[in-house]
Amino acid sequence: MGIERHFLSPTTPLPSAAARFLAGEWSGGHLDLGRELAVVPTRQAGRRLREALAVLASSRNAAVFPPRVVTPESLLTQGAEEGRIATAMDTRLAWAEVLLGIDFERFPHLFPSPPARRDFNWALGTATELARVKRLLAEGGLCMRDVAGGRQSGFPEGARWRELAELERLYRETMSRKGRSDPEEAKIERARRSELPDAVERVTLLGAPDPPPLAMVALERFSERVQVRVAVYAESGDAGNFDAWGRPLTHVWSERVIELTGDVFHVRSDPPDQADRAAELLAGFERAERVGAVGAADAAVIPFLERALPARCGRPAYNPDGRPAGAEELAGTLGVLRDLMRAPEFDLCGELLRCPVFFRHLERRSGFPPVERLLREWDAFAVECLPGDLQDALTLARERGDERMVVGRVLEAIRSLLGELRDAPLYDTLPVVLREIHQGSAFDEGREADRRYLATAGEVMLLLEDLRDSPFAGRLTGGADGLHLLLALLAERRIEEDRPSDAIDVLGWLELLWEDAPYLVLTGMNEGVVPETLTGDAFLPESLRRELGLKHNTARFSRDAYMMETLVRSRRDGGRTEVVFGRWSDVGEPMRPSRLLLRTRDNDLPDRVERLFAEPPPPVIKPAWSSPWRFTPRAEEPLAGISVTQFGRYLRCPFRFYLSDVLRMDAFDTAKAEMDDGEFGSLCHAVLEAFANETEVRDSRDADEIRRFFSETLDTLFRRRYGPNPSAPLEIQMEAAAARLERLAEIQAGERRLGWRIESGEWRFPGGDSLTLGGIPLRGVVDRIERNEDSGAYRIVDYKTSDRNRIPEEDHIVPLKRDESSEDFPDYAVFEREGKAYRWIGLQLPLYRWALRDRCGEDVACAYFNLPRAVTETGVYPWEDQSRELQMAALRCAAGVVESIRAGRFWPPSEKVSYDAFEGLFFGDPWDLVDPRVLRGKGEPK
Amino acid sequence: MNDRQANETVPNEMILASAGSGKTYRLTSRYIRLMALGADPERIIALTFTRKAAGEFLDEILGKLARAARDENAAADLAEAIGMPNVGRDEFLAFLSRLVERMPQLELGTLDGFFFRIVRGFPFELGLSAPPEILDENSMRSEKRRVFRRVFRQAGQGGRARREFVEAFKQATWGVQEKRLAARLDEFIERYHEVFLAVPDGEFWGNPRRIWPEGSVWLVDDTDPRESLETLDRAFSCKELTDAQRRTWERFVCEVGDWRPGSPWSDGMKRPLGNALRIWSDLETGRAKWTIGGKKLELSGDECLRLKRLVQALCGAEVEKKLQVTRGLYEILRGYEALYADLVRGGGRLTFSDILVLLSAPGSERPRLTQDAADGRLMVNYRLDGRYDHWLLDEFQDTSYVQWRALSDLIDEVVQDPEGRRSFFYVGDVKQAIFAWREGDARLFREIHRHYNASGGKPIQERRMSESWRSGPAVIDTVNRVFGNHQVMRDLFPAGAVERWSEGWDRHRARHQDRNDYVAFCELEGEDGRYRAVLELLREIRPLERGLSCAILVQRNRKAAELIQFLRRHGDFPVAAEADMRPGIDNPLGGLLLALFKWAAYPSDRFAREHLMMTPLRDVLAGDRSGDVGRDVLESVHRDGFAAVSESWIARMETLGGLDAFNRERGAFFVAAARSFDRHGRRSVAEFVEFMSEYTVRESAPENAVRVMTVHKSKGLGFDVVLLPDLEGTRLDGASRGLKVDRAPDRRVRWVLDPPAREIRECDPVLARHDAEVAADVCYERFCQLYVALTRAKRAMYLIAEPRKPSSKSKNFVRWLSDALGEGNTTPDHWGEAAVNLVYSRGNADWYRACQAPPAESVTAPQPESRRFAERVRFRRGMPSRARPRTIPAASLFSPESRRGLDFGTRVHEIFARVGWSSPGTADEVASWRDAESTNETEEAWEDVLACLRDPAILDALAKPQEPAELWRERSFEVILDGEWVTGTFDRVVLRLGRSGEAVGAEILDYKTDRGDPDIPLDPEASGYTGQLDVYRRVLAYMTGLPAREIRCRLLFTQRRELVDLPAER
Repeated sequence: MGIERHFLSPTTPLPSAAARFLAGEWSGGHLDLGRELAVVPTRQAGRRLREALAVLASSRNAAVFPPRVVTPESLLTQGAEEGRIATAMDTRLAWAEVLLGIDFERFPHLFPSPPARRDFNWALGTATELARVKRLLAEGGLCMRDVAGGRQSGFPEGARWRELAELERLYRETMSRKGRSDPEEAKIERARRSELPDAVERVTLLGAPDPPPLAMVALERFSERVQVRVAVYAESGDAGNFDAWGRPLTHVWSERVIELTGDVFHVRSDPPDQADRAAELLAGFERAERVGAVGAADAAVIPFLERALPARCGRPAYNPDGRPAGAEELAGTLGVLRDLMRAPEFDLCGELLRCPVFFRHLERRSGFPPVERLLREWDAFAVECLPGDLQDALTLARERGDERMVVGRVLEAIRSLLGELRDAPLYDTLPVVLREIHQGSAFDEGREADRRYLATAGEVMLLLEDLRDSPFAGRLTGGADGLHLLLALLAERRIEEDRPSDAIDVLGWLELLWEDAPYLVLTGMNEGVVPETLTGDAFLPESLRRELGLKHNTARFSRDAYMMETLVRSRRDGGRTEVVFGRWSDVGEPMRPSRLLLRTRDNDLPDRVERLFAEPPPPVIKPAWSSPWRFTPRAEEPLAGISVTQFGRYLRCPFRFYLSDVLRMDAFDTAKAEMDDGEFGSLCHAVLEAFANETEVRDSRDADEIRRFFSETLDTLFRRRYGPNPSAPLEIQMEAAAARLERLAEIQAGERRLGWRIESGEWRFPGGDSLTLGGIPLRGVVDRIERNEDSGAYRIVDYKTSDRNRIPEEDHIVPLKRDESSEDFPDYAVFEREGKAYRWIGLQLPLYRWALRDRCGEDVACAYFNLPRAVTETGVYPWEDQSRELQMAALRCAAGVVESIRAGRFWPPSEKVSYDAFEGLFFGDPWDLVDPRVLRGKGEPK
Repeated sequence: MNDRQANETVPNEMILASAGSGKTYRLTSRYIRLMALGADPERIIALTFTRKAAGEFLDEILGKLARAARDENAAADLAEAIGMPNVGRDEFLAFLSRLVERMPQLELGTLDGFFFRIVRGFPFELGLSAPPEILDENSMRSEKRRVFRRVFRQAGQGGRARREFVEAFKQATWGVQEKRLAARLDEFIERYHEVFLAVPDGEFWGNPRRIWPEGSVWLVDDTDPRESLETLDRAFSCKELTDAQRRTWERFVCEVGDWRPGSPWSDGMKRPLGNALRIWSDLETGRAKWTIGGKKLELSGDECLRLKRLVQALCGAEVEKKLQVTRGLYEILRGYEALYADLVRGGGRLTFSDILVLLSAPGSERPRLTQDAADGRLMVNYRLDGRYDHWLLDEFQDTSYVQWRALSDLIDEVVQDPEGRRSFFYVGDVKQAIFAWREGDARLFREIHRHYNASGGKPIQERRMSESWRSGPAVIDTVNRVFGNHQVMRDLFPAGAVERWSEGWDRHRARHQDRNDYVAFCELEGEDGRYRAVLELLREIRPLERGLSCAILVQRNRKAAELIQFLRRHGDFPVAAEADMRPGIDNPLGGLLLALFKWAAYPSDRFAREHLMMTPLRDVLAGDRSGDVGRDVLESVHRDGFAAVSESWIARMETLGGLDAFNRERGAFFVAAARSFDRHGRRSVAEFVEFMSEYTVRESAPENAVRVMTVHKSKGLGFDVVLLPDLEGTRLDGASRGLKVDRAPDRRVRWVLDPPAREIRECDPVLARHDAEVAADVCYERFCQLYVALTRAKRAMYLIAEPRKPSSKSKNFVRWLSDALGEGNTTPDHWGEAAVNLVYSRGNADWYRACQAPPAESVTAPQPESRRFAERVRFRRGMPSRARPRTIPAASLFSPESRRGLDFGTRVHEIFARVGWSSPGTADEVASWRDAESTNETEEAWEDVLACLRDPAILDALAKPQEPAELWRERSFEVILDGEWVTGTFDRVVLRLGRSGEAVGAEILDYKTDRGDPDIPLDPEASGYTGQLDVYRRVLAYMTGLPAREIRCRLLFTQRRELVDLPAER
């Protein structure tokens, strides 16, 4: 029947022109194109064609029975099958099987460096690359063996391609052993056989300037039986510039001048800047969606268009390409499950718990509280026990008894879920698990988010079916690998969204020929993007692609030159094309304007170059730093009681004290993997408390005996808290604690020999109102009270586990600096000693003395027992100045602090603090950024 | 190009250029010259370091050619510049055209980019399992953290790996009982991973045989310090000592007695030992005076020997500890690297350092791709689709040895080209070598020159460029005074550094001798004073209003941030930073968003909660008793990603309290960063918060603002006015702390060591030699830093420093400038309202008064002439199956049955589509089809259809009516209906026709293949079918002109073989 070429004039938009062309002589009644096959370049083009047909028919109050609309790709994949064509799942698995089985020594040119780990991950990555090469070759009807054979002797990579061909042979054998055939090879076969779908009487290739060579083979075969028409979107006068398939002739279009006026160019800096300009241009229209569309040649601009268009034009952006399925919620949840299956780490359990699907599942089950409480309990357990993995956590939860029931049951639920997944093949277990965790929930097709979820779930189920049907699934070594593969394939799919009726379309370059908006803003018009230029391919460099007759850079240039000219020409009357491009990529690479924009007459070239390579307009000057609000801390009742250590915090900074001690602002450490300073100290304290309570050992003068006691007690306490298999960091911390205590044992034996006997350890201040200061109860725990059996003197000892030695006096008082005056501090905080002004920064030891005055007398000595990281510095460090004056000053200060706290005085912040946990919150400037009304105290001006 | 031309006119060249002397001009001219000599542009490769500079190459080449192609005079100038006076306008136009045409093949870029292209071409050869991608800094941090966590976890799994890790850590922290591991480990990896990559062989780490091949003075034998101590104690007890000496000695004895190998020296040990080390050489001679207790003590020969042994033993223990620590560090890094290579690099996610590791293969003789030399080179050319005849390397002083190693084989080929047709050109300024911390190695300049010129072939010619086209005479005079006065430098700095400087130094000349320029060096007390002076000066000069570019250069990013803050608050002119911004944490909105995410995922985080309560969100949270807000945030993050949720909360903040311009702008950056996080599909709030807390964006400063930047960032730039208010600092030769990597002159690593204390190093010839070399290198780099700072100004430079205290011995920039420029006294002066003391000035202080801004050009982009384009109508798309959205239970969604059900349904529809008018024999006919076509998978579908066809009621429904009729089967349609574009497919339609063929009645039959419970009555309404069929009915009414209510709609439930009539809706 032959192939006929027709020309559709670009004076009409392509969808309408194509619809009219298909309608032919149609004069009324329903437009019946049911026996036609229309081949269009993309799915979006197909949609536009069908819409145009409906519009055309509606002009005569009719409907359309549309033609079959296919893309060249689906032309090669649809239709009756003989044998089983492998799915993407099959191909990856088959390649992986081959790769995991080969002897690298037989492939020295392909794999000169064997991978560090030859596992499924490696095999899957390599399989993906090999599948890509096969796909590229198949476009030209070729296989790897075709490249290996038939090349001339000068072909530089003959040996490598022969090895690839050998690998392909193994792959093909693997496929055929299991009754499958490679999809790319099947396409080649089908193109050659070319089975025309039933009842098709005519085939039309529409507005497709770049059909794959293999599709043309198929169409050529069709033409033997039915009429094949090629409709070229160009003036018939240009007929000489296209080949029989409507492809722009390279030698014509690579030289062709593209008529563009200087005022259409918009040089911009980077993708956000480009998007902003495009939106700005469209914002000039009242109903931009009816007039304009945006071409996004560079996908990097799309996310910014999706933001800029609604912001500037008040219209959503619509990208018919859809969203990547791998970024959808279900993919995220499956990703966590995959990671958990690889290694059931405790952190990952927490991640799963935070997946809405999972926590909603728990909430629906009886006995589980709402998620907020669930997470609170979980996190409390996490920071306290620091379990490494699920098993450790289960052991710890069991040992800790019923107060952690919820956490234990969550862990059980996760364990059982993972168990289910491991018990049988993924295609059997995963649907069960998914049904289980989704049980009771339903999805509303009317909600966009639910539709996405449904679509993703549909893709997952399809992939699972593929996995079930795959004869190669046996190679998967575990459910984690299967899930990994499933997710890798899911990531290659896209979820289409519905187009809002007022949306501005954002279309990729290859879709633009089919866009009929009169005002078209092209963005991302940069070299390398349009025309797409591929260089440095690991297997198919440009020279080889050209030699093999595959798509190459010059052909792409011709196609794009044709498209550019057509886009402009089709809008010359009653429309306009704007061209936006950037000088920098989203990652800061310099970018050049597309060569298409430089296809001008020689004499104009210098001007064009200068215009296009000009600097983009300078960005808007950045606004100065500012805060849109003043931070207003919540009013909270001051403390009902006060501990001895809180005085120091108030003295160092009343404002920060309010945040840390009144509002109790404490950040949750999500990365916690070891004991913090406080916990490390508590562990050491707990050992020493046990020692003080162990009347037989505590009197020992034998360092070894004490050391043994410490070691055993530490081990017991540590294991009780962190379980039998603590993480390495905890293990190291325990060893550090042991080393510090070991040294302390020596010093302790020495102190005992000097006559110091422990009277009590961890002596808690009596509760209730028996010990109050300024009317509020005082709390505290004295680490150790001891008495010298020779002198009868008492000594109060506080253990310190800081890294560096702490000197009691330095922790409590500091002399005023030269640039400080006593007026800078509250009266009660300042005192004089030997003519020099000091201020209080801590009151712990004086308050211990005061609390114990009845028991130990007024003159009791105080000391620190330091356990620093340099164990040679371990020892008892007394506070020499125990004078009554100093004690009185301390008590006056304590009273002042209590009175201030009770009066609600927490402002202003101290200027200098050694460590500011709130620096990031107030950017180091609470004075300006905080509204202090609730902090000034009663009676103070607000 | 013919051979003669190539040989005679394109020599290999090394150009040692000075600041502002036109390096890029020279390089681009050479490029054009090569083209003029006939070289194909795609065979010329020009590489530099920064992306910005790489972008400028092509801009400048094209700009030159465009001007020359348009204008005869410009053509003549360019012809002269390239040394080919006969080349004219037409040729330049031809070059321009050719260059544009070949744009995709041009290799004008960065070294990093070139290396990445090589790696991309060789993934399997380099052991990668996936096509490589470059990790940006933000992703790299995330990856590092991921590996870091894995180190912990792997180590937590028990067994050998864990024991090894614990031992390595203990070894690396020997002598101190670290209680926090994470921070230390993080520090080790952050600081030393790159060192490990450069030196992956453990043999070099903490190995005394490598450090002291001749033997170490410290590691003598197992001397017990106590023995020497006791001997000395006995000797000193008979000696006359002052009280202070006695007390000091006794404390010393006591503390040495308590000291254990590996422990740090206590306070009582440090000073006496330091003093003993200071007289180390005297101790060896047997005559020494030891300072102890503040007074010198004369020692006898035996005492000298004993003290020496004592010191040796204590220092030996210290050195031994450091060796162990180094080996421990190595083991930790090795463990980390093994995981990193496996999890990150092997998967193709690479940093530029990784690329160099892959290409240069540290530890092996040759770079990996050229180990099989000839073959490797050929493949690089082949796979990159390029062959480079002419190499042009810019900023060569910043090239590292590893980079050179990766390139050298390709350049060898060029330099050793037997026909001499190819060329190599490299240009740079050894005085601007400020990237030594990034391994830039300016010594390569000379070494390569020597190497190639000694190896025969076409020699590399040396040229020097010291004429500044950038700066005026006053600036250049100042530069000469500071950097040309080597005596002042010798007095202050290590000789090695000064010697190296003087080798690369040429006296500078200003090209524009008549330029009216100015330099001032003034003193001002305090940082506030200096900042205030900057402000006043800018108010006085008003550079932007005069069309002058202006930069303030500082030494550190932190200072830049402070200064910007100050100027933005107090100044009335635009200020911009060439600095990193952190949209996650450097603004209140970012902080609020992170707190919101954190609180939602970690409700026990009181910090986050109270933070939110201090902001306008307090009302939202206060009203949320049931925890819905946090839950909603968490759910929407998982559903839509962090970017979308951030955007919606930013919008909410706009309505709650309003945002200002600053936070709005930062919000946009926040969302962009969140989007890049979302790209990987991750939803972990903890990871996101970490990512955002460290996420940085480079804020580029536009020229229409006063630009504040570090000296490092100013390299390559020139400004009319430069202010330098941050010259303070410590000594110039202070080396950084941490591991020492000692290299032989050929850059081979000799050893790696965590160094012992300075006093010990000073007495150790090997370590002292290393320290001296490092100090000279560090000092040289600091010279370069000041040189870069002082050579940026075109018209005016203001140096502002703290007055130097008379007692100060600090050998820093201020001291150097004072000594080189100061003339003994200062002159009071005023900059605006700021009183300053002028130490030095040159040129005309009023230089700026003559400067006028050029009239502003219209730069506004033209708008479209017409806004009246014809509107096209885009219809909303209607799908009958979605006419009434259904609710789909999860149980059916994840049921394998539902998938099979779909396939089954498709098959049933296909079979029914083949059934025309029914007759009693239809079932038999279909059965015969089945017998011919059925497979296991389609068996059920056939049976279903056959069962239907055996049902009389169904058979009747498929039968031809009495009157004339038309039958449609599986008929797709497209129609515009009520403003909607409706797409669908009729399963089966029967049109009853009137006499003239018009439709007089119609019936729609729709097949439903659901496999519901047969005991539950059918409810088409609940299943959403009524909506779908109603659309069908309306479409058919539109198509036939029949009233919709007269069209009969029926559902055929094939499984239950039941026909259900759906009456028309009212």
